[in-house]
Amino acid sequence: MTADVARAVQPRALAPLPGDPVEVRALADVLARQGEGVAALGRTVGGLGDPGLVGWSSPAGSAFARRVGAVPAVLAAVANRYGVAASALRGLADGLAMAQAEVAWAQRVLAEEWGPFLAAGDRMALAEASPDPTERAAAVVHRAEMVAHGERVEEARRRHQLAWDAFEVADRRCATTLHALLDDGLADSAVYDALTGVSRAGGAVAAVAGTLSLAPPLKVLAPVASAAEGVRLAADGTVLAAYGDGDATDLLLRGGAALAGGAAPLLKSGARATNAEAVRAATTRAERRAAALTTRDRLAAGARSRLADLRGARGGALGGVGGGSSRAQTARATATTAPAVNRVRPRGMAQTRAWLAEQAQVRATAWARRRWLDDLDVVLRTDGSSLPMHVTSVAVERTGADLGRAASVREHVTSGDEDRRRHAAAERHR
Amino acid sequence: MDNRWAVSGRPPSLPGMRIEVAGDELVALGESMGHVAADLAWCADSAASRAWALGHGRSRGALAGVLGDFEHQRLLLGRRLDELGASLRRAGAVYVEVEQDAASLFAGAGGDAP
Repeated sequence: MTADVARAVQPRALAPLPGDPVEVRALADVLARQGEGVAALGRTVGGLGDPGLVGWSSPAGSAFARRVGAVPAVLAAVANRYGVAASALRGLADGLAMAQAEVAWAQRVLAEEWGPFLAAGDRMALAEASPDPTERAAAVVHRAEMVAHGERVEEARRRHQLAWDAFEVADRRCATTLHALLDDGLADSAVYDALTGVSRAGGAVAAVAGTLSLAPPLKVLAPVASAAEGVRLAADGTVLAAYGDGDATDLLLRGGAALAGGAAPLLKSGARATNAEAVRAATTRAERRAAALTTRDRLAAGARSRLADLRGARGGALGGVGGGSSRAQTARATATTAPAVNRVRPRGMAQTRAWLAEQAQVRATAWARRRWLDDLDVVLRTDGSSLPMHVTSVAVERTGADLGRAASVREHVTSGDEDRRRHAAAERHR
Repeated sequence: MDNRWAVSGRPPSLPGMRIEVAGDELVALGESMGHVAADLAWCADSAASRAWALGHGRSRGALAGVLGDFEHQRLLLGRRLDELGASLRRAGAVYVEVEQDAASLFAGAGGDAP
């Protein structure tokens, strides 16, 4: 191979072997310590519960032995996992260290020999092309030099490849040992993995879609967030019911918030539904009563209105005052009666304080009007609408918001506790 | 006469008379039980954060499976150990209290001895 061909086909550097055997050994030590601790605890608990071994010979000891059940066996299995994993990792660390040493040697030799190899090749080519017979005779010497350097380069490449192969063997052996540990009966079932996976995915989608839906152009994502949260709740509920894992209070709070969040707009739309014209057209009291909307009718009307809202329909799906038209009335009322905001910039501290107070009051009034009073006004002014259902919708909405807040606070507290426990565990292992 | 005593040269042990309970050790055992679930979770997290050190081979994923793929058993074990630990802590505290009361009784009796 000439130097030009070598330049073209062979890279000048050999790939490094990633990984850190020192860190792997440190990890193995952590696992080994953890395994030994768990094994010791398992032996103690097992011995304590076994009158033949330690002899807690009393009614309390017998009751403890009955309650211990399979705990020592599970602790022994966990300890075995950690112990065997630690041993496998130590083997991998040794293999990695040797392979990395070989790779480092190969890289150093290549770096040292590659330049002289190319230079000798260039000299040989020049000598062979020279018209001077003495120069041409020297080509043999240059060739010998090039071959010597080339052999060192080839040796480096060969040992580099062998080192990678050796690491792959060590890695495969370690992975096989680790995979074999999964057959110890501790592994999660496929159904459990699927449910927890669905829960995590649902939570992630709900969080992203919920945040994005706060921006007006992306409001269409709100149903996606609701659906994802529903999927997450269903998965979490199944895990809790079937396996006992999870927090029932948190699930109830989140479920209540989601339910109330979905029911409040439906009730609000249902409260505005009316068929006043049909009622007015009725001649007898019995006919009027028969024509009046029942709670079921209102809920159905509310559901239709919500569907229409979700589809972006502007028209009301209700007879008479529907979701869309009532909102139109609400919007008009807000526009005509919204309190004016003083936008003149204040001067001085006293003016600023007064301006801030005024801003807060005006904005709070506008918010309350938009949120409560306008809706109430529409219901009161619409003949045949249901004030009790409207009040119920407000109460449900309030309850949903409170439940959501409570769930957030609880999640915050729980995650804080979890962080403290992890921190304490890290301190114990330091 | 008890023949066994005659053979061994020692009096027979009386059932219910051997009382040897270290209440504080029961409390300590209960405490250590409460730490196991958190320690296992920390260990899995610690291993996940150091997994890069294993290189790009198959062992990395396998280790994640070994330390992470027993979430249900870990939670279940944590709950069982928490229950047992709480019971042991209470039992240990009761034993310690009873032992102190009993010791104080005998300490009083010793003061009256000639």
